[in-house]
Amino acid sequence: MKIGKSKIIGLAALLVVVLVICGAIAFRGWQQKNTPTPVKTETISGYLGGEKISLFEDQKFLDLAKKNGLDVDYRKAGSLDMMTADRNGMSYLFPSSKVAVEYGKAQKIDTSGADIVFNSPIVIYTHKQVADSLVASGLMSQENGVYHIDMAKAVDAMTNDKSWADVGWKDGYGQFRIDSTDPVKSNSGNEYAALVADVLNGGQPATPDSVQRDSATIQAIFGKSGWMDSSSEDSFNQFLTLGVGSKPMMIGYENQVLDLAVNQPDAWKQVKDDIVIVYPTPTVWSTHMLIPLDDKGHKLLNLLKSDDVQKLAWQQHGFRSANFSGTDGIKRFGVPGTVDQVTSVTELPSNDAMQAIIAILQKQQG
Amino acid sequence: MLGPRTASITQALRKRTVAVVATVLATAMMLAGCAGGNDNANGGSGNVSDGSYSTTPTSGDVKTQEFKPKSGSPTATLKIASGSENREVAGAIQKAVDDSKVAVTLDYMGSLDIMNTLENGGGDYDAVWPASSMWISMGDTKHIVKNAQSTSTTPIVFGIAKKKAQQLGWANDDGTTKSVATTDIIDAVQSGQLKFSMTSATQSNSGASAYLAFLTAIAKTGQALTQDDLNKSDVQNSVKTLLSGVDRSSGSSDWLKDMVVANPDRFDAMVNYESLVIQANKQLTKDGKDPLVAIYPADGIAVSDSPLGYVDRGQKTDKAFGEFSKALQSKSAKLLFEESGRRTGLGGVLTYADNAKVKDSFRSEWGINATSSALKTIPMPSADVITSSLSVYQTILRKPSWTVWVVDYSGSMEGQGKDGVVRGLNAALDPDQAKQAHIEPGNDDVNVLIPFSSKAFDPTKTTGTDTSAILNTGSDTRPNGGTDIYAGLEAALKNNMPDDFSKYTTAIVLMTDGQSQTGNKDAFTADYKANGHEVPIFPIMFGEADPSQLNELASLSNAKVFDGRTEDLATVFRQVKGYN
Repeated sequence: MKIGKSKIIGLAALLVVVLVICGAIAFRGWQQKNTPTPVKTETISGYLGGEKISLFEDQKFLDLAKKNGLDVDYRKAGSLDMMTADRNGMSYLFPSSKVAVEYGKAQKIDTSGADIVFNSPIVIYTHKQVADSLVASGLMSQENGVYHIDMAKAVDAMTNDKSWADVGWKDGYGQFRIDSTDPVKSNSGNEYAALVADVLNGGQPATPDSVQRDSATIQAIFGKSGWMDSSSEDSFNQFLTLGVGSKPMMIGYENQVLDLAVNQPDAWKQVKDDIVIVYPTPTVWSTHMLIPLDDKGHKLLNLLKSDDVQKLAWQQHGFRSANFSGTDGIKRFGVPGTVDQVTSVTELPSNDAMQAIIAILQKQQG
Repeated sequence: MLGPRTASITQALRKRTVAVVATVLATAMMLAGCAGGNDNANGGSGNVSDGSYSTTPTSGDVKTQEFKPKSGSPTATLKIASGSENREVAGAIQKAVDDSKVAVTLDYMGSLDIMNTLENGGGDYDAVWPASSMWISMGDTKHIVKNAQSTSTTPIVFGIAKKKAQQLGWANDDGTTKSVATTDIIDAVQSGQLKFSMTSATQSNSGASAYLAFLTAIAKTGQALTQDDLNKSDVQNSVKTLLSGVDRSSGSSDWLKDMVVANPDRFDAMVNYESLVIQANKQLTKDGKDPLVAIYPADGIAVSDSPLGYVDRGQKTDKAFGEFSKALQSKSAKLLFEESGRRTGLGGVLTYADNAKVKDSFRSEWGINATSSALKTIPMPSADVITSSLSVYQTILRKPSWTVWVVDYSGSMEGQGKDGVVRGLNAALDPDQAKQAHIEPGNDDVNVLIPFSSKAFDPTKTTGTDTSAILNTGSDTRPNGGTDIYAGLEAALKNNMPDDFSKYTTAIVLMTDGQSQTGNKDAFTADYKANGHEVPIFPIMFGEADPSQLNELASLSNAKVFDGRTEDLATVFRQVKGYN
């Protein structure tokens, strides 16, 4: 049977129509499968340590959160300060240390769901002229562009009221000091206090007894700084803005300069030849822990621990996490003087000793 | 309305204001590549030339300033509580508004007011923009401030008339300066060679910062000021000596600059932001006057970091804030900041040091040193030491004030007017009430109340913290009769001034609700000029008061008019007290 030309055209046309319809149906099905089912998003707010704000404002993080049904908001507060702040309507507390969590527990907060989210070593930020002067005088050392400060020597110099000129920096105003956030309110200042207390205890973790014994010295060291911010974010910003005269050396988190390099390239370009990151010998690790206060808080904790967020937090904001910082080195940030392995680390004092440190510094503030 | 007979100072000032604003605007437009003459960047001052506005003799009077995008309608409007010094960066603000399409309304107030606003939950503000971060940190007890970021920096310096600075041996002919320590300044004050004006430490950031730097430098411990340092009698005595050199105070840094510029022959020096010394010099140079030379005390100064921060009251304007804030950090906005005399580089330096217009602001012949090495920044004391320092300033260390309150008790004051006056006097003089605004009377302060109608009544005088006699007279006096402000002022000037003017900062506060008869006007004006002490007269306008009469007095005495018609009188009395 001979099939006429017109029939062929007709069949072909039919085939096309069928294909188009099938294709459309298939495509719609595919499309439906691939469009995330709209998730009901709930707004969640809580208290957040300032150094993590850049992450919580990151659109990529907010998008990941949206996907998981969370519209994340925050209030900035120091790690210790947040434990006594009004928790009405708050679903999480996100301090920067275990100490803060323990402090919260002592304030009758249910911390049973708390978990570690990120880690970041405590570092000291300073300026090139200060760093080089202190290397020359032996308080600091520099090897292959990596700066370390000998905390025993530094604490000794502060205890003896050495001036900046005494420790080698001729242009400095007044006494040698290392500024920090308020140790009674904010974690980075608090961990610095712990470090000082450890050093004063001969390098061993401070105890309630050693803290009592060294209380006058610890108070004197913090007295040198006077004004202390309650947020590591403000403190770091002022360090950048006001320059060497205002805060010659300042305690911070390693991630702060990494975050700056990634997210504020213009600002980084301006300061990269001047800012020096110094690893204290020894230093302490800051463990950023989230305390969920309700179901939404638990949801946020799970999100933060997901690979997606952990990866984002490391690559874009410099928070170390077990899974990523190990395989994807710190050189990726292009920040000179950073190290993959922080070798000299001291243990934080026991909770009792930490509470004792907070108590003596609180007393000093009156 | 400004009358045709308004004194020439006012007119000169208006012209200057317009000229400065016009320059800034022109720059902004050039950079933005825009044409067109929408002048909303200059708030009230822009209309001064046609006389349709205002009650204000100087640009430093504008309390609220609105900025709208030059083209298109704004996507949002932000209400910002701002330090008065931001009047000077209107060009950068306008640029950021144009670029972000976010309109902003700036309410100008002192730093302590911004701190109090935050303590009380932020009022209806979307953002705060004080001169220094410390006011946000101290005020943000409710954790409502987010994303605070420095917009620019400027150190607090002494601006000293060049001839004076040369006499003192502090400046060379080319304007370069020598190293001057706080002790040198104290010596110059003690020997009567130096007087200076400075804002009140309890009302304004520049005054507070300078005062804390004085204390720290004088304590000489090389570390942050402590309560023990503050309690030392030699520290207190030295600061008291230094502050005895204050010849005029003010509640606003920007207005202080206007005041000095308006009468450079009278004022040798001011403590103010470097940026305002630059602004003052642009005007002084234009007027053919001796410029000020910037002196950076070698043993400790403070730096303002001018942070802009979002106030989160759940109002969801954070996106608009982010856009405006980002635009304010743009290169072109930063350039405008620097042209206005602010530094925008990290580390307290200039970003565009090589730009011609920036060079034109940061001139070495004005003693300006734009490197960071001139900034021997003090470590700020802790919050509790700041608070107690300010309290000691107000009650003990500042130069005593001599304030004559000339208050209208004409018949029309019956009711609302008198109620307002009584509340106002209490707000300014009752120690407990005044303390809330940090204006409480000190032991040596003198206050005199002269009620008047068509003649002056008997004065009531108090010395020290017990002001009850004045408060009683204020509430017991019955309104009756006509209005002759000149009779009241004449009584103040003739019989109620200090014997030794050098011991006090002296001011007359005139409150009136009606147009005055003018029979005594010429006699008073002649007497005022003959008196020679140039006591500032701060008129408070109320009811049917005649703005032209009051503006004239403010101009005559290089002071400013306060408007009690649009604001609560208690608030206005409090503000006026902050100027003395």
